[in-house]
Amino acid sequence: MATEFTLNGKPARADVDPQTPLLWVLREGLSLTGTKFGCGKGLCGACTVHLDGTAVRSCSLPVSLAAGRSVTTIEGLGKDGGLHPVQQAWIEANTPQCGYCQSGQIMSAAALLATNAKPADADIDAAMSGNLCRCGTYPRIRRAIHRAAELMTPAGAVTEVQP
Amino acid sequence: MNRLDRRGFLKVAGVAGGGLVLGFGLSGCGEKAPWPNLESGVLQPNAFIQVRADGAVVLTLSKIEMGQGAATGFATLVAEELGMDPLAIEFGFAEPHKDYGDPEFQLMITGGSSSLKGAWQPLREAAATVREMLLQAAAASWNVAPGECLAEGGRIRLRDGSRDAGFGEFAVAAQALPVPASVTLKPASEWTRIGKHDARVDARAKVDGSARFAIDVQLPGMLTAVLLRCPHQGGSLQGFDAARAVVAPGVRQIVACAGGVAVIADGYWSARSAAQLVEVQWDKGPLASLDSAGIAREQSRRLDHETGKVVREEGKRSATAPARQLKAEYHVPYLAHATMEPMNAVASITGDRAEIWAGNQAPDVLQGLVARVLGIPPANVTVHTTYLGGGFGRRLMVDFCLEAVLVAQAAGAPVKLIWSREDDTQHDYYRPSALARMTADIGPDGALLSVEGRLVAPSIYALMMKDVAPAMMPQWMPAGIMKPVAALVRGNDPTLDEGVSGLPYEVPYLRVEALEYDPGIRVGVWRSVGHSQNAFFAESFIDELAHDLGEDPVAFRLKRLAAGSRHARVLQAAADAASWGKAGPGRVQGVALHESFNSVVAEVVELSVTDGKARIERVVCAVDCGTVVNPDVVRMQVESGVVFALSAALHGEITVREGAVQQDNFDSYPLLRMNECPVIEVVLLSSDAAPTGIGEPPTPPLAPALGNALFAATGARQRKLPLSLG
Repeated sequence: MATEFTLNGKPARADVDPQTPLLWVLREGLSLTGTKFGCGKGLCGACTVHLDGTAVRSCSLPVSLAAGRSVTTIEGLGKDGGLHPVQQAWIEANTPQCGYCQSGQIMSAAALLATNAKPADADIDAAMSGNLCRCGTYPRIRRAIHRAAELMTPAGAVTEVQP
Repeated sequence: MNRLDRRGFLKVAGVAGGGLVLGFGLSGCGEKAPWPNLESGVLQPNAFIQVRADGAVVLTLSKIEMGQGAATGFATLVAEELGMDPLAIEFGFAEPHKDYGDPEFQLMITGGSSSLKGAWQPLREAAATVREMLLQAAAASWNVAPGECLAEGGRIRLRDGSRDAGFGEFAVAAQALPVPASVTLKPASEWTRIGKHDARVDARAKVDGSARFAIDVQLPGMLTAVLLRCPHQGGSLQGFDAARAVVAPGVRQIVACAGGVAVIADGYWSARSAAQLVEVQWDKGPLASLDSAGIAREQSRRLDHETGKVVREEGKRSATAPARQLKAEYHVPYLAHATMEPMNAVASITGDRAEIWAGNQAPDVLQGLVARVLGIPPANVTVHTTYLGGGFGRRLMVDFCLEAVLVAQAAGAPVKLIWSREDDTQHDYYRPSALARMTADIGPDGALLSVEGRLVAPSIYALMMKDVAPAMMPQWMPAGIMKPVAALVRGNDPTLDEGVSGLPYEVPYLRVEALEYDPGIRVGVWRSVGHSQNAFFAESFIDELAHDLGEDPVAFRLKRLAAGSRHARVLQAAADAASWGKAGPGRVQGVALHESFNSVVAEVVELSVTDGKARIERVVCAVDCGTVVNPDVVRMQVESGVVFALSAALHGEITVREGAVQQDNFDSYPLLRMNECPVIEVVLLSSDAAPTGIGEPPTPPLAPALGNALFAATGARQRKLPLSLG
């Protein structure tokens, strides 16, 4: 049975068992290998993608639940082939080491910043503690998220309006 | 990443022409470049720099990139001598060739925190040689003296600024020139990249999803496999029933293979789902009655009743009887590597040739072992090394690659074998469990008379020798040499005692004794190897001694280190940066100092305690790792080593029951998470010595510094890892 959804802004279709996790549809069926397999149980966050803008663990999400919805992966995060501000900030902060978890980290961070333009450290802890990094890039992830928040604020824009 | 495999390298360099290719010999100065493929009786490891006619500078990395930053470091060394941006260098991972062997290991092993140390001199010489040849060619072309030309900004320029051209303009002409007998390296005073360049060459690919790991490799007609392995170490397959599984959707074949049952399917999900339907009977094997409690009892019994090898004895035992003794016993558990990318490999076999794609830390070992498994010459095995989703020593062992080869052979098609997280946790080469008994004699006047350590652990190198050395036997070892070689390792494995036997403090009498006890659980090198447990033993005990003698832990150590020594300076730097002795209100500190892989690291852990529960607020690290090539990459490695050690110190414990590992995923084998990560501050000591290790040295001091801080906070000494925050 085919599942149809929107993938990185384009129509996509998966002719697989609807219970197949979205992760394997992306990686094997659609050759988008930027999304990683880490634990298969939603414990590490390496497989994080956006489902209608919300961070989800694609290793534990049956593809059927993506039907009719919009999926964004690391490959589709930047607009027009460019880098998303989170990705830019990640490079500025020299964040990745082995790099394997970083797609998931970046997707979680981008989802956080989409709803919280200026996250406090506690917000970052809450949003990012589901993403493991064995290389220990946490201090840089924190710094990069703060930096991305700056980058996402339009230069000179008034971010807080007093009544 | 710009990949360049050896075949492509040869094609560009030799066949197509128009390129300048240089190898370098570690023996260095004055020798004609031995590449390509000059036979030589001495070890001549090589890496390669290529200048293409299109101006591209291509670096073939003799070391793998697993996050440690070797690619950036190597590119920086080359860029310095060539006067160019490290980010402009294309790079790829070397396929097996003896010229890429590590000067220390004589193999293409990436480990022992040795990459930059080994490349420091020869890689700069290789780059300087390229530069000199380009300058000569440019001078001839422009009809000026070579001294009038310089390489800067990625171009060859006349010093008066009147003319410049890209490297590629001279690549062909330079190829015809004799290789200079010697080259002059840029003096440190002229460095503009070494010690300054921070941006990683692999960052872009690792933020946009394009970095290719082995698990990302796709081949035409490739199948995906999972392997059911006996959970009991040393056990074996008795039988299986795949009747229900083999009819599951997507399944191609289910077959006994590689000691287990391979489920081969169109994709991972089909294979994994079907694997759950296979009914397997295992023979639990010789370790069926082994459990963690039994291992601990036996460790204790050995120290009670056996003597080991005295690995260090210095000074004289006091003639007079001590007034008293301080005794302490420390224990550490087995640990898993838990790389984020589970073990996996892709294998393709055609006739008497094999190709394998794998994240691995030892491409030539892998090549040799695949050749042995298939009974084909090593030259028929092509190894493609990808980025590694973490290594930490795990991917020095290539068991998972050999499994992929066997499954591909059984399948008659290219196969990607993927381990589940559960497979990865339960079939690791674990950091050994170890036990230490430390004793100090105290004189009547309160003077420290002696420190003695008695340690028991399995030999990691004996196991590695058994598993790794056969890969090399056909090539450079006479047949039958394995027995004496293994015997040499037995009883001589430094991993048992390194870190205790290297105690840097001056004491009147020091004695360290190491016993081997191998319960049969397979062990391997885990970031910092023996130092990972032995620093905990040594530096916890030193802290106990300081407190026992009523001395400040930093002052106690400094008093026993030569003034102005590397150790003393590093310890003082950490104490200063942490405001030792002047921690803020509600803050408590602990310290540890440790040398490993030729680098010295001191760490101060700072805690706060609320309602009896400690929180790690800050870790201050001071490091002397010789010349720092990429300061921020070094800081990254320090942060990485600290976080890695924190996972172990707070959460890490692999236990065994009936010879089977009981943990399986990140719920039962947790790693440190963002919300637990303290602030990490790094102080890099300036040095004009050659670079020393950085990938591992920051890991060992963390656990003792944390334990010492917990003692300072609570008055309770914890002598077993993992530690409790209360």
